[in-house]
Amino acid sequence: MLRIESITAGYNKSTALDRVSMTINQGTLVSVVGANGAGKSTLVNTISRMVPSYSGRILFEDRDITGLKPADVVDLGIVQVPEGRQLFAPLTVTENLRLGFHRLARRPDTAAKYAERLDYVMGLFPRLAERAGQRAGTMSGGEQQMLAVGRALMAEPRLLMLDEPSLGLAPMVVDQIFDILSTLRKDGLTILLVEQHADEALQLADYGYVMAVGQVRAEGPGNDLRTDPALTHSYLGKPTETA
Amino acid sequence: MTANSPPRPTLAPVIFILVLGALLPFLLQSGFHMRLAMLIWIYAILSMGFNLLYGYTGQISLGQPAFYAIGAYGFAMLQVKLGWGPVPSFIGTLVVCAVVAVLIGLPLLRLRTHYLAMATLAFMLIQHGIANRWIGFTGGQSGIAIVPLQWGGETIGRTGLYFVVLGMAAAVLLLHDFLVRSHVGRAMQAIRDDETAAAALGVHVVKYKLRILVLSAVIAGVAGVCFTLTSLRVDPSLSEFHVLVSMLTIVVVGGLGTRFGPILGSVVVVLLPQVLTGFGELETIVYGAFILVFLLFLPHGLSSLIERRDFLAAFKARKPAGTGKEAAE
Repeated sequence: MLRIESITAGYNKSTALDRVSMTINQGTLVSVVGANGAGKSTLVNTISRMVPSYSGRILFEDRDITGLKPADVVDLGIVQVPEGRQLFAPLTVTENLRLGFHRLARRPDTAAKYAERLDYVMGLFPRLAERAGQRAGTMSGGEQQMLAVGRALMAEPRLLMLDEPSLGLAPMVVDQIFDILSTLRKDGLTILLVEQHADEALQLADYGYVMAVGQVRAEGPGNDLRTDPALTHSYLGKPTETA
Repeated sequence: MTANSPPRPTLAPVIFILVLGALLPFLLQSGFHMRLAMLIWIYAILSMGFNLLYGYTGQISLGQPAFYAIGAYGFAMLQVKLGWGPVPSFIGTLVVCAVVAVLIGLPLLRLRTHYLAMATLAFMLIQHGIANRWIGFTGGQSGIAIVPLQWGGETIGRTGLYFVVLGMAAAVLLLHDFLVRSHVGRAMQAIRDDETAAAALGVHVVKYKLRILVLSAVIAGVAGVCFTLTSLRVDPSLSEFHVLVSMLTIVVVGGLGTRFGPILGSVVVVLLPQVLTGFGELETIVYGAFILVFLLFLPHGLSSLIERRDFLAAFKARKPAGTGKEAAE
């Protein structure tokens, strides 16, 4: 579905992604793990065209999207849950969800479609239904992350990209978010998950990539990577005893 | 959906405002009062354009008075210099406003916040300079006079003129209301709150900003045309700083980014000085004090009293749980 061919990208002169190649097949969950500064967020932002690339190609269903604007990428159905959530804090939960629906707002059957998406998202996150009228900025971190995921789902994505959804959340909430991702994957959604919590992210994944300093250092089925002692030691920073 | 989500806004208040506006000529006696009423609508039109641009989309363009002046001058000049009728002049003027807005918007919309404000302010000063100094073209200080609007060979009276202005205001009000309640309005607010996040949601940020700038320029042009229609002449005084100050005061007093803020604000800004004439020399000071009181106690404007949800939100925002962004505004 998405094929990244030797993409190099970065900020001004510095290179954050160095000839990275990846493939995401339809209906799979692909996790990209690695330490801080490995280029994981840049990867997501390069796919969504928020960060320009210098060379290489990104093909979405065999169409080169490297020349597109961020909004065009969303139009194709590639929707991002940005790092740090980026909610509209003064707006209510419902208003944030409506903004997520922007991609579909020009369809002729928009009202029915909106009701359908809203039902779907509220069904996934009953908590959001309870808080429909509350301002996003006043909710807890976990609720905000659910809203960020819900907002992206409102657009009926074909490829959902999540950038560090566990950031700053309590372990129990992280589990909830990962449970939802597992459900979405079972429903057939294609997902690209970028995570520092390598173990959980790889456990969930059909396929995984390990990144370090802007390059892909290893790839393989999620569980293989997770149990490879050399990898966990050198790139995932997992000590033998957890602190 | 649950009970605590806000009720969907209806058209009822819009219709109420317009019916009230249509009844005004039968309630007001003197020509002076009618002039004030027309001035309220003209300022309301101008401020609705600015509200879309700044209140909803967050683009602080101080060039609105320039488009107001281009509207006023264009309407007069197309009639006097080219001999066009009022309707073609009206349409031609709006086209001119739109073209100029595209030309200045393409380079300037890359700028944000106070840089955009400064650049658009410079645009206004250029326009003011042309109106003042290019005497052969604009008539300089003495300006240009036009003949009154006619219908079937007869000059339209004050009441008729009022309904022309009201009609324009109604069209702008309906458009304003339709936009802010549609997905376009939500996209605008997303741009205002966070351009990056808006783009990530699929909002074509640059395209939207340019379209709204053009629309608000055209709306300012409509206000300018109305000004020329009612005053029968244009001269540089119309684009003086006080139009800018009035417009800013209107949106703040009425409530930035609210459905009816521009209209409520216009009523206050046009009528307050009339009420305050009793204070004589102290008038300006009292007026200033009023504005300060507004800012302190109604930071979300008069609209917040009416749009109850906003009022509650404004109240909540005073607590620490509110976001820092709002406190900064």
